Amino acid sequence: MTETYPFWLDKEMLKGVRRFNIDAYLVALEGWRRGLSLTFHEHNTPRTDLKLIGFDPIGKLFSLSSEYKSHFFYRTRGDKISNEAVDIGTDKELAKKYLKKAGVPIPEGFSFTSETPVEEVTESLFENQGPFVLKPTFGSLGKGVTTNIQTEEFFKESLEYIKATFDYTDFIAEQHIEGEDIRVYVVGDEIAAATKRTSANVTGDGTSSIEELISFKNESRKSNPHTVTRLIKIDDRMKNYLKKQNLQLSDVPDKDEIVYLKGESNISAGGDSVDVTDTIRSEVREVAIEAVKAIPGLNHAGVDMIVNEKDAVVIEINSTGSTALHTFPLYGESQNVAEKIIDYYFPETKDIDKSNVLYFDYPSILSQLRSNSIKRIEVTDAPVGEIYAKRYIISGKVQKVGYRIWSENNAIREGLHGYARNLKNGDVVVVVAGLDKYRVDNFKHLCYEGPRRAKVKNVREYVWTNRIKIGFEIK
Amino acid sequence: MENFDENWLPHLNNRPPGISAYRTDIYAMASEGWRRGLTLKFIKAPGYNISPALKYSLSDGEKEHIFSVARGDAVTPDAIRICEEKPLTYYYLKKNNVPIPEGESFNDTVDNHEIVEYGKKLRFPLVVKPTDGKSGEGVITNIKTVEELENAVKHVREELNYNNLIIERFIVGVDYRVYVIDGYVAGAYKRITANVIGDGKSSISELIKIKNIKRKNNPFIKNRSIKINQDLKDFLKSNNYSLTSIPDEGERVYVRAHGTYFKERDPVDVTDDMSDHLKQIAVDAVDAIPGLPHCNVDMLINEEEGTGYINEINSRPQISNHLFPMEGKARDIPKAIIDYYFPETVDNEKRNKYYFDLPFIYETLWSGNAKEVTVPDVNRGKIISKRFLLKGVDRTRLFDRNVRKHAILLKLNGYIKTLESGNTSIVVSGTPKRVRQFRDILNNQLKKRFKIQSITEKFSSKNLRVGFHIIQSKTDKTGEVENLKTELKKYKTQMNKINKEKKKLEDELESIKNSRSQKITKPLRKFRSKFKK
Repeated sequence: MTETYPFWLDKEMLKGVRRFNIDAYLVALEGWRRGLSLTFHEHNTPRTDLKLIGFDPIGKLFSLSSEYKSHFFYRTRGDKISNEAVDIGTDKELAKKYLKKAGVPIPEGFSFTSETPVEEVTESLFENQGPFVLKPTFGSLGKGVTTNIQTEEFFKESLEYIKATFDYTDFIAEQHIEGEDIRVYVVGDEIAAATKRTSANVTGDGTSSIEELISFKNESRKSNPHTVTRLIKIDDRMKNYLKKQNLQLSDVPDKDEIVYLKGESNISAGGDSVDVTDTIRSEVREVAIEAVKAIPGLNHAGVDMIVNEKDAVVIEINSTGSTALHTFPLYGESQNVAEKIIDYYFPETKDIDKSNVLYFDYPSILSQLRSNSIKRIEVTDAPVGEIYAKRYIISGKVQKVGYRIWSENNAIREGLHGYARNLKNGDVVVVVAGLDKYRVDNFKHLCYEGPRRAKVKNVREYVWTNRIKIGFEIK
Repeated sequence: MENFDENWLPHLNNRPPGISAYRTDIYAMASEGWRRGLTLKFIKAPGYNISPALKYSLSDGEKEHIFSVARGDAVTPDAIRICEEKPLTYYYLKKNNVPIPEGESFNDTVDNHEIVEYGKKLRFPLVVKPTDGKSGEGVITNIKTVEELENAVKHVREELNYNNLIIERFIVGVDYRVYVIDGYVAGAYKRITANVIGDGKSSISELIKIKNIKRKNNPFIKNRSIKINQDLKDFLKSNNYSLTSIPDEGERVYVRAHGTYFKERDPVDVTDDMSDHLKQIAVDAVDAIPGLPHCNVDMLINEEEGTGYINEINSRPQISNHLFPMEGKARDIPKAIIDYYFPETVDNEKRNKYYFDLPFIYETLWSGNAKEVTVPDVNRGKIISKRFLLKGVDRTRLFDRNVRKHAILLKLNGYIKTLESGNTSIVVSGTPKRVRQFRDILNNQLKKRFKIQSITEKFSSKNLRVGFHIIQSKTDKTGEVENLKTELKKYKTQMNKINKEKKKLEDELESIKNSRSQKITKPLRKFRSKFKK
């Protein structure tokens, strides 16, 4: 396992931000830190026709604006991706046609619907050399995808399962290509990140059962904001999958023995993510970039690929591809995909001296948008430049005298950000931050005064280099 | 909520909690535009600081107007400056023959002696006040002698540090606030010195208590009670009253000297009492200032003579005293202003059912989290509200969120909460079609998925906060009630026991009284008790 949070993020900043909200937040935060104006919009705003996909679009639509231009984003997808490109990406059959036309390698296969007689499908499929993959044409998040289908019996079984579990009616059956499952995030002519996904697995320690190993693994997945909502679930499918390997949950694998728990290499189904950005071969990069170019109006996207020693084929295009996956891999280095996306939309802000400690209160914005209490909210602009901050500990009669409210009013007047908190020992902590060193240092003198009812004995000062939430908060 | 005076505007009774004092102005103005269907946005001024009077804009999609409290963007920056600088105001008024108290302003190049000499020529009584003073600070009235004048000038300049000052004739009159818009008077009130009105039974101190309750009910002046202090007692005494005197029914007793304790005064509507002549003076004053289509005019009015002078013009006045007068009818100044800026919305249906969460917006902007917040629009066209009563449903997080998601996607306002009976109540409000769609989702999808036993529906007339809100029960009330019931039972048994014992003791006492020895000694005991006295 590697360090969960990269240097530009920390646990507190991501607190209360989960799932696709992370994608929206990372992109919004990156743009905002560069001094762009950030506005979150109600999901059905007439201001943009950006196509919203997914179960819950609320709180993931925002715009970033400089003096000269403005761009809308939905999660990671900006308005440089056309809605037609989104449609092509959602329709896997159509996507394959475009890729094929552009000469991008894809697995051979065909599509069918739930109307097509199953016998007919199996007949034409098993004319070819297996194994095969079965997937829904309009599926997402790897839902209903079955890989490595060797027998007709398993194919039928899998199809029945998809039909029974989901509402899909259109399917694709194609060649299963053995290899690593890699998601490459392409921005323009560049690779922003590449992450290998493995199917859910555990590694034996010689003493614990598979079931115990799963719960250990889930414990570590919980500390990662991307995988905390993607734990390994024990279900009948997993039990069946183990059974096929003559295993059950109570078995104790040998030390260092890897046991695969599911067929699909999908992080949502408990798979692992490993950063491979610096190690993928150059021809793999080329294929990924070509794939994005093959879809008109796409420009940046996540490309799902199967890569083995000789081939690199594209199996899917995600126009709203995740950044969280690449920023919070379970193994390997964090990649800042959001940075590359903002570079692409606002290249003039590339070299801006932004601060990595600033963040804004996204969860409170989310809760207001979710309850539809507000229609639109523009976040306070981030101070751009080097943030200078001090932490003052004030002692004396400073609690129950309105010290924190007083410090809030004064910080706001001085244009400083930070917080005030009461300590159990009767002291008050005030953290103030801003671009103006003098104001931050001078705040110490103000702290000595305090509100009328306070009797300040002493103010100790410390340098503060941790995170700063925009605005002033009384904790 | 407090008792809402029947003279006030009913729709302003429906305010979110936490709207009092200066916030009533902004809420009344902003909600007037919003409830007509205009888009409402709150804006923090550039930079990190905000003043309590934050700005907001109203827009119909084509034009947008920005307001600061009750001042809109039709008031030009020049007009604002003219109103802020009294000498300039007077210059324009004088030029247009609008009556102003005779006087002169002086800057720091003029010494005190010269000012006093001017004052002497002007004739007493006089007023001295700082040129850029705010809300009555440093205003010294009724100066009758040269010595008083010298002291007043010295005080304002040297102790209050205002170098520029105005000296003018002191007009005996009542302070009127007249709201003028588009060439007519939309409302006028005066503030009368703190007073009580007798009911023939209650003492002055009781009447003050009653008055203070009435003041507390007033959203704007709720924090300004009449305080009983030595000043008040002395003043009553000088008028041959005391706190215990009982005024006659209908008799008005002033409890403060005229011109003191400004915050304890009562706003009284005088719109209908003002003569056309006086109203014309106010309108002429506003006309005299270029670029000023609406504002408040402070007038000094001699009610007996029917004469009036302009004291000040305020381009960004508070309007709440027009809305919540202590006596007389409320005057709908926000309506007049929004009619002026958006005349095409005059006949728009007003959505009085909804209110928005202004305190939250304040907090968000004040703490620096956001610089602009837009309130969701109210639906145009017909709206209905329905309440669904759900029996036998487990309010899990997942259930609440599902209900909210469907409500939000259908643009419905309302809430979900648990009733005391343990049933769940969902209130939704929106267009009939969308409310129907919500009902279908509830009856088909959600009923099956969350195993709801039964759903009954009713129309609802509740006022609603805009948005859809998940209301959590604060504690598990059912447990609490059970605990209280057992405790009550315990006390009841104890009471019974005590009653029984009491009965027993009483019986015993009775039998002792009736016993022979007691009867014999009775006269003796009677005598003893008398003796003790």
